[in-house]
Amino acid sequence: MRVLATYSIKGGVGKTATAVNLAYLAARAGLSTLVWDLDPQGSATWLFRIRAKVKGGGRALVRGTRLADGAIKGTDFESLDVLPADFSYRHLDLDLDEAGKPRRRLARVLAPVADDYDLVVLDCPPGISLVSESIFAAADALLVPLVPTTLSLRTLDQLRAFVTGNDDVGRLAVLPFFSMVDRRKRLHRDVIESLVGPRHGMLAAAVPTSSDVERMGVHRAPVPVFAPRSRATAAFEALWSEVSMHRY
Amino acid sequence: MLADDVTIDQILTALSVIGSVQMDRPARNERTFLDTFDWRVHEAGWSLHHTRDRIGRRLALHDRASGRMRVSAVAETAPRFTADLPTGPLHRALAPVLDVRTLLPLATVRTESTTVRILDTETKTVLRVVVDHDAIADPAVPEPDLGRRARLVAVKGYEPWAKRAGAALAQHLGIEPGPDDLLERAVRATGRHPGDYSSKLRLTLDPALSTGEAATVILGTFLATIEVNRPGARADLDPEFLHDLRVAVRRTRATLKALASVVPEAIRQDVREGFTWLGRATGEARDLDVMVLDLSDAERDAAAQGSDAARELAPLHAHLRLRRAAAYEALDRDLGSPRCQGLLDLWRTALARPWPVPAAIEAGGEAGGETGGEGAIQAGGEAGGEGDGTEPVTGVARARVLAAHRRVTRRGRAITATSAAEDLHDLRKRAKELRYLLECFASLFSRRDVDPIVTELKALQDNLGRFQDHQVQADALRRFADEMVHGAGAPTATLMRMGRLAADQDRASEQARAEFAERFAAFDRPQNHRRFARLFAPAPTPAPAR
Repeated sequence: MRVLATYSIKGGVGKTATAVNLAYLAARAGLSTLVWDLDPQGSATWLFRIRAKVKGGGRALVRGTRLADGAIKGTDFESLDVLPADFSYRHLDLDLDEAGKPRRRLARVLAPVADDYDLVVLDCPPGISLVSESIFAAADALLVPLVPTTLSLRTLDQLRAFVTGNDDVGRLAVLPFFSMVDRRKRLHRDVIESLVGPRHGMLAAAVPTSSDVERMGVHRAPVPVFAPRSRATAAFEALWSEVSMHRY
Repeated sequence: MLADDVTIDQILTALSVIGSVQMDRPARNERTFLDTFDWRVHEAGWSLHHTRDRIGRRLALHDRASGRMRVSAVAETAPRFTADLPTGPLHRALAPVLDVRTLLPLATVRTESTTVRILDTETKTVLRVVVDHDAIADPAVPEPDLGRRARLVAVKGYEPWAKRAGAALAQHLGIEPGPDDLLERAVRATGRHPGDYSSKLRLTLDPALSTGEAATVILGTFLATIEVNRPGARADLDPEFLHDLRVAVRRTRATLKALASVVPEAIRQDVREGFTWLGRATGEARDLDVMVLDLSDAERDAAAQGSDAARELAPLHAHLRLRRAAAYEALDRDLGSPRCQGLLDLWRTALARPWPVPAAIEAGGEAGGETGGEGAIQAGGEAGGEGDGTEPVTGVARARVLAAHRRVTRRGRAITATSAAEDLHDLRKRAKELRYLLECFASLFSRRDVDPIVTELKALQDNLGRFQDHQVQADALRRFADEMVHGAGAPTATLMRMGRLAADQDRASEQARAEFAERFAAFDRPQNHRRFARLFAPAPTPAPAR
């Protein structure tokens, strides 16, 4: 089981869209896939038409009084399941802290289902917190959507500094890619040009700003389901292809 | 299964009672069911198939009882050996089950599926009802159509919907639940059935059989094993085909020896010589199989200790591969030869006729040769001596087992610390004969009583086997080193490593030799003799009626 987390310190950069579409493409490619929607807003859960509710909340999961398997729901798509969000996840920091050994807790929640899934995609809430640290310890790679602006680059540097300086997560791969790219904007073009190439550790695939991504909320489905020939679908397919080949 | 007249529209109507329904476009897939020749995956309670559909190609392992998928993995082609399995949970689950056996395609099924999805108020899929039309892909199969069936595929977390849909289908269309037996139906269409072959001897004899009748049953079972394993051994599918074939040949020879007097005289000599030849003809390939397997184990152990054994032993591996390929070529020639075919045809024809064949019974064959001095066996009747084959099998079985036990005991007791290795090798052969007899006739006696005896015997055989096999391997390693030096050459590090391996084998053989006395004493203890006597002593002759 590989664990991939879509993560960003900033909000509104396309984490959930990336998690949902990549998980869908992974399942379509035959991988048994689980999305764990860790964001209390529950957007990924809602997009899969599942109720954002876990009996006992995040507290029961991290304390082990409720097993993940009993909370997992199947989606409309074969081989693709969701461990739903719950509004109580807003207190997940506290729950982790109280449970003891907080950095290992999320990995422990996933351990019993490790043989059931080839891939777990964690859709993470923004920010750096105890939840983030537990995510870093559970994940094999962080997939980091980056809007091509100067400030975004600064947050990426902060993230890299955090990961590098943290012994617990030294093996964690950080895979940034450009998201919400608008090539009409000169700044986007300049930033992309200045950072393109393996030297900067950026993935080659970039996801454009697209009304099709926004329409996920209308269709409550991944983009390839309702717009299979769109630019957004092509971008997510390219991203999945690159991520699935990456040796993280 | 669905009756021919049930339509998709009727299914849609029936299901619309429980929720809104939506039909997907029909989809096709092709599944190849895989298992070892001896059904190891099936025996473990699973089914394994490689699927090709519009999504791609993957391998899936299911629990047969629940129908639930345990694990799946992307796999471009169907794997053959453990090493071909994708790493991860699938490999972890299957590797210990398959061991050295190859996965064989059992049947390929083409399926056209129509999926009806049940949606809840959020238009979320909560159940899939899949109507499959299955057919065997092989055009040579006489009746490839496997019919239509409806499957309720529960969505995780929404299981109660499956019960509701099942009730609706039963109420409106009379569709009742049945087993998910596609694997079984598919393999039956190809002429096999699950569990139709096992390496274990499964022989049940009716005590009412005469010795001649029992002999044809026993020997017929061994012949069937030889014949079903012959193609796999010739094609070198995996080492177990040859192993099982050789065991059946040895069992045949032991039974021919023990029941020599009931084998039709006209063919007795030819058959005995034929199976002796077959045993020899298959020996070298098997020895090399064992070498390759043991070398892989030795390499793994050495690698675990951080040694660079794999690199050093690579030239030996290459040499063994060449030798093994040549041995298997010779094996293929021998097993496909007119001599082999003639032997099996002759034997099959002989076993198809009733035994005993009225004929003069040879006095004192090999089987009875040693019995004279080790306890008289009454001729004929229940006591089971050199009768004509019409006597009940149970008495003969008792006599033969006791005679074989006496031989093992006598020869074992004669072995001292200075005895020649050949004496122990000979004892091993006699112990094998006893084991085969016990296994052949086990069904005539209480399993509970026979099993502890077999366990004790196995321990002795294991000791004798280790003594001889390690010695054979040490000799083989030195012979290979010599061949390599005089052939394509070999690096010094390889030769030194082979020398160390040969020394390890010598030590293991010596260790087994040192343990022999204790091991034999355990087998020879009075309790075991009492067990044999209790189980196999001749039944008391009823007192004459007054």
